[in-house]
Amino acid sequence: MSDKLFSAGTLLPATIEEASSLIMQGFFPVGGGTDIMVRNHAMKKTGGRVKSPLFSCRRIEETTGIHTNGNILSIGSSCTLSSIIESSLCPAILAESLLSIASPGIRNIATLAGNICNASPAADSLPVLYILDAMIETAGSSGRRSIPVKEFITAPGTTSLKDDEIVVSVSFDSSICHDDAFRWYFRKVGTRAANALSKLSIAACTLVDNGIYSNFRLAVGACAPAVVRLSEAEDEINGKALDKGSELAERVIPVYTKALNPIDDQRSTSDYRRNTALKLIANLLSEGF
Amino acid sequence: MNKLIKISFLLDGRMFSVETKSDRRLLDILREDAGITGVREGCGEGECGACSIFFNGRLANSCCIPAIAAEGAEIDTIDGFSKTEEYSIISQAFADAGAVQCGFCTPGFIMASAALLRENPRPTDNEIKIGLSGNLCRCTGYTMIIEAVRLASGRMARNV
Ligand SMILES: Cc1cc2nc3c(=O)[nH]c(=O)nc-3n(C[C@H](O)[C@H](O)[C@H](O)COP(=O)(O)OP(=O)(O)OC[C@H]3O[C@@H](n4cnc5c(N)ncnc54)[C@H](O)[C@@H]3O)c2cc1C
Ligand code: FES
Ligand code: FES
Repeated sequence: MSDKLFSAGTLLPATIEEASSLIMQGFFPVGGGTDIMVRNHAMKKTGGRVKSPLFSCRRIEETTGIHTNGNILSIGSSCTLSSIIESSLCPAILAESLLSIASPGIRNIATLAGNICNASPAADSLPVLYILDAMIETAGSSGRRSIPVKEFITAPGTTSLKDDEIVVSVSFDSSICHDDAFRWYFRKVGTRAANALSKLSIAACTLVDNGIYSNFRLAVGACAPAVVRLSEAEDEINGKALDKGSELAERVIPVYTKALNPIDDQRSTSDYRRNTALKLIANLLSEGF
Repeated sequence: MNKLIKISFLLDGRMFSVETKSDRRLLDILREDAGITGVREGCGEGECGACSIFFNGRLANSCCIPAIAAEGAEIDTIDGFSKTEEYSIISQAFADAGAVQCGFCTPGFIMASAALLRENPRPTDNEIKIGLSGNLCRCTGYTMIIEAVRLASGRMARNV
């Protein structure tokens, strides 16, 4: 690379090919920067590895805007959390989870793609994206992929994004959210209302027809290395009556107990996380949605 | 490889250009290159709101924004904002409510209050708390700040 000044335009590519080529030259994609910039600042003090230099995908047309194609809602990776929350296309359950993130000034710049790519077990968008069966659309020099969110996140802090790929958009079938029989629940437990990472969070949704559960889905965040969603428990609940909630809770709580494996850290203890999550699930089922 | 880039943006209504690294914090550009020291650095971690600015018209923490994101943006700081009628009303309300002690957090709170009142001219106390939830004050204990926003909201309504 020559010594001359870069034009800012070089770091604002308009195509996937240009973005891929920047990554291969050692540049990192940045969304809002709320994770990278804070981390880099901390790393500069401790001498750790910083993500630098940076480029932004925001001029790549496909990463912008929120669109529907039939039942599929697609959110560009450059969309800020605020723009998603304010969009009339955004289902209330997703808006609620995004509103629980940080504070207005952070939500106005942070992106959903950044929240997903952090791959933090405590990332607050993830439980909702898991129950909506969201797909992460990626693109790079080797082509395009569409990856279920639970496969996209491979371990805490790690994704299956290939070296030269960027996230283009996040999409899911939103038709269930518009069904009259749709009910949803989102609860984040943190130390305080703003700027607090989750101790744990729970997202659930279902259809209720004539008092019977169908399409029940539930995900728990920050209670294991990955978001926990259990088809075994969901199968147990589907087809059962809402007013049999306490019996259902008795049946599925042992299943969730086995799967939750939270850590102790500065935000909370393993026991508090497990017990609170189980209590919230039991309450949700006993009281019905 | 971390070459300088030339970044230009609209700063308080005037074009501003700087040669800098892609990952330099907008906060540092504003304070060190543009000399706007009313934009403060508290935590440097996105938590205190002392570095609040308007980024394309919306409240944002400038310690979290990389230089590359600022290219072509419209950025307003407390410096430019202090010349507006909105500012006079809000800062007077802060003074009258006793919402300023050491004053370190005040520019950030004024920016957050202005952003809130633009989107929601008659906020409830709870909406004020949410609107200011990204700002920390170590002196006043928030009650007076909430009172200040209530005052400003009432005075703005009378002004129109
Ligand atoms: C004060 C504060 C409070 C916070 N509170 C919360 C909270 O309550 N809940 C929560 O979940 N998170 C929280 N966060 C974490 C963070 O703000 C969010 O995860 C945010 O959504 C990250 O988005 P971003 O666009 O700013 O990410 P960035 O910092 O821009 O990027 C994050 C990661 O994603 C990668 N990336 C971004 N875009 C792309 C793309 N298109 N393709 C490939 N890779 C990409 C980057 O390379 C980087 O590795 C908080 C952060 C701060 C500073
Ligand atoms: S200095 Fe930016 S939020 Fe504290
Ligand atoms: S007045 Fe001192 S920090 Fe708020």
